[in-house]
Amino acid sequence: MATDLTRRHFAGLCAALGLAPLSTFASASGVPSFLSAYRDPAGTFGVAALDEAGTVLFTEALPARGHDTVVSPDQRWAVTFARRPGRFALVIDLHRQEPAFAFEAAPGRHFYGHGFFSPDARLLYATENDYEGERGLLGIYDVAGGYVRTGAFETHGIGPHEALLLCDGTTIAVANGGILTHPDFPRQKLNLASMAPSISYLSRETGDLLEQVSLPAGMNQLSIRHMTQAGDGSIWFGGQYEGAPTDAVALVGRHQRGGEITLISLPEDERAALRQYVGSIKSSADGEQIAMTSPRGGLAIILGAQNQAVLDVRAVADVCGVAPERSGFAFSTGRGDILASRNALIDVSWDNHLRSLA
Amino acid sequence: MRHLLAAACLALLTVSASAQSDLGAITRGMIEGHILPAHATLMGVADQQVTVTEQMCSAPSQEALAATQARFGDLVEVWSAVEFIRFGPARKDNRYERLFFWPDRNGRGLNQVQGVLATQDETVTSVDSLKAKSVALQGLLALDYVLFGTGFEALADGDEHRCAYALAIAGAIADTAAALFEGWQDGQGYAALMLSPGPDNPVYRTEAEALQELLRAMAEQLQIIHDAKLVRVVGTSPDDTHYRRAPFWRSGQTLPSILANVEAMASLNAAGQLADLLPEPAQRYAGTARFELGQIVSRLAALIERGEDLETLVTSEETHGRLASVALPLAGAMRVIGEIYPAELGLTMGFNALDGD
Repeated sequence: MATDLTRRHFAGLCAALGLAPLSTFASASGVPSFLSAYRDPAGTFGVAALDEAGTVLFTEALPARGHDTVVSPDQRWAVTFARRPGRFALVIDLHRQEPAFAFEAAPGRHFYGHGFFSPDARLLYATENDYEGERGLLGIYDVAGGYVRTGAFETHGIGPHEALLLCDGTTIAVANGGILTHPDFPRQKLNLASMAPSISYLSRETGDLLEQVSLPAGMNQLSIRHMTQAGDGSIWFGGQYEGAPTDAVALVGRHQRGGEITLISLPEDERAALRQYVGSIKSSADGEQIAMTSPRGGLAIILGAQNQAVLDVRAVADVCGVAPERSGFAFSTGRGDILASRNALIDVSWDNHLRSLA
Repeated sequence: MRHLLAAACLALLTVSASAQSDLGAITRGMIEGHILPAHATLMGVADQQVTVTEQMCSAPSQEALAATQARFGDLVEVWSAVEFIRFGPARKDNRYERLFFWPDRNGRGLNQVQGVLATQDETVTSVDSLKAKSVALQGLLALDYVLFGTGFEALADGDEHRCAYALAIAGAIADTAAALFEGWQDGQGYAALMLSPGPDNPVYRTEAEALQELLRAMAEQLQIIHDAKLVRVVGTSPDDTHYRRAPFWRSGQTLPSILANVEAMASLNAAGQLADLLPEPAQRYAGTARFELGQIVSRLAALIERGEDLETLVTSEETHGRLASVALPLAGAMRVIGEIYPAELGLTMGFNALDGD
């Protein structure tokens, strides 16, 4: 039920923790509203901060391709992770608008490109690959100690990709994509015949596995990659299918703690247009809408989180990044578009993920 | 005819003024000139492998074993001509992994093969029950071990279980090869899908997408040869080599299979008629690709000619250097096929669409 109570609960609790964007977005000029990694026309990589109008406020160079950028709840720090199988992370001071620190993944580990801060901004968590051990990890970094890695939680699966701290502030949800990779074989997926994607829920205090769910039988080649939390507390995920390209499969699913994963049935045109690939999925600021993108399909779809009805379908070439903003969602594309309350076009390729600041 | 003319006029109108390449013709050439015949050959040789293995099991002898082993060399070679196709029908029912479970990191697949041989597992001796088991037990690398790994000599002396397993693997390979062939071939098959892109096509909307899939698969194959089959195997010096990381080292088919991989790229380059179908100033790049691929082929052929096993080739100073030198033309071919061709052909796949995560 879409009650005002659940809405207030979501916006209030999640936002109070700095975990979900408030409905009041940063709007003062000079204050970043969006962050995204990019590739510029010369082929070099960086991360850019943009204002609400999509104007670039500042950029920082990255040594190679970046992936997601996470922001501390106090909005002081942003961290851009390397794209898999990269090992760098760049910390940006959002107040000073300059890089503050850079650190690397531990020996034998690489980043998957996603993570989050603890509610008190003291700890940073990052999804990592222990590629010799063939297990997924959530590395834990002490912010004040100069991002020293103090430990790691097992994600109880292979290929953890996006990880979220849920609105209760204590439960972590991890999307274990299930695909085994190794830096020695950069182009190869090593276990497609036996892949077993899952969602793991971990305790942030202890790292204990609280619950783990997998996909319905026969769907084990749907790699669960990106996730978001809806206003009713459920987790929505977007997958990438590794089976036959002609299989007509659902790519989006929803999970409520204690239940089974349900796959979302989209109208056939929209399902097919996703081309077996969802690149990003994000909940709106009020938790009532879910937006997903497919760069392969050149498509963004917005669903109602409660009734799962299609609210909007937009054809946008090479769209991948999506982030909540005041008027709904902002999107970014590999062609340089930032489609927000005001659209902007910049001569770069925006990389997979767009982050908005609360 | 009038319809055709009208369609042609419309096509002319919609094509921009700059000379556009006939992308569909390149894709058609590669599919009809290489992919379809190569799959037919694979299916045929896989059937021959079943026949010769059957003969060995019913009348074991040194000669029968030698004939089975020799046919396996042919089978690896024809497989290597389609190894680059990791998309399409190969993705259905894990057919790719069923045929070629490699790299086998930590020897997991090998352990399974050794395990079923040691325990005389009866469920691996019929095609149906074998196909229901792990993909690592039923492909070319499993057969490589059964025919050439520890204890293979017993095949000449009537080791019934080992021979029945070899026969079941050959049968499973033949089944999978036939399924791949049909997946490409039949009227609704993948060839038709790649050759009729459009808004209603479930996989390819444009000719550019279909051709990009082929070029990307080719570039990936060259990179896999470079990174995984060459650099990881020959190391930095003769003291730092890892020949066991290469596929088919037991059967001595490592270099012949890489040679066949590269000849397949040359065959695609020719079948796609890139020397004619690239935009004019870029046509010379087809010659560059042909030259680089030819360099790899002649260097590998000279090494194969010596008749030495892979361990000797990688650990002796002279041949180590010759093998390592293949990396240079590999990089050259990779650049032409993976970067120059797509750019010259205007295959403007999106940054995110082409390489997401």
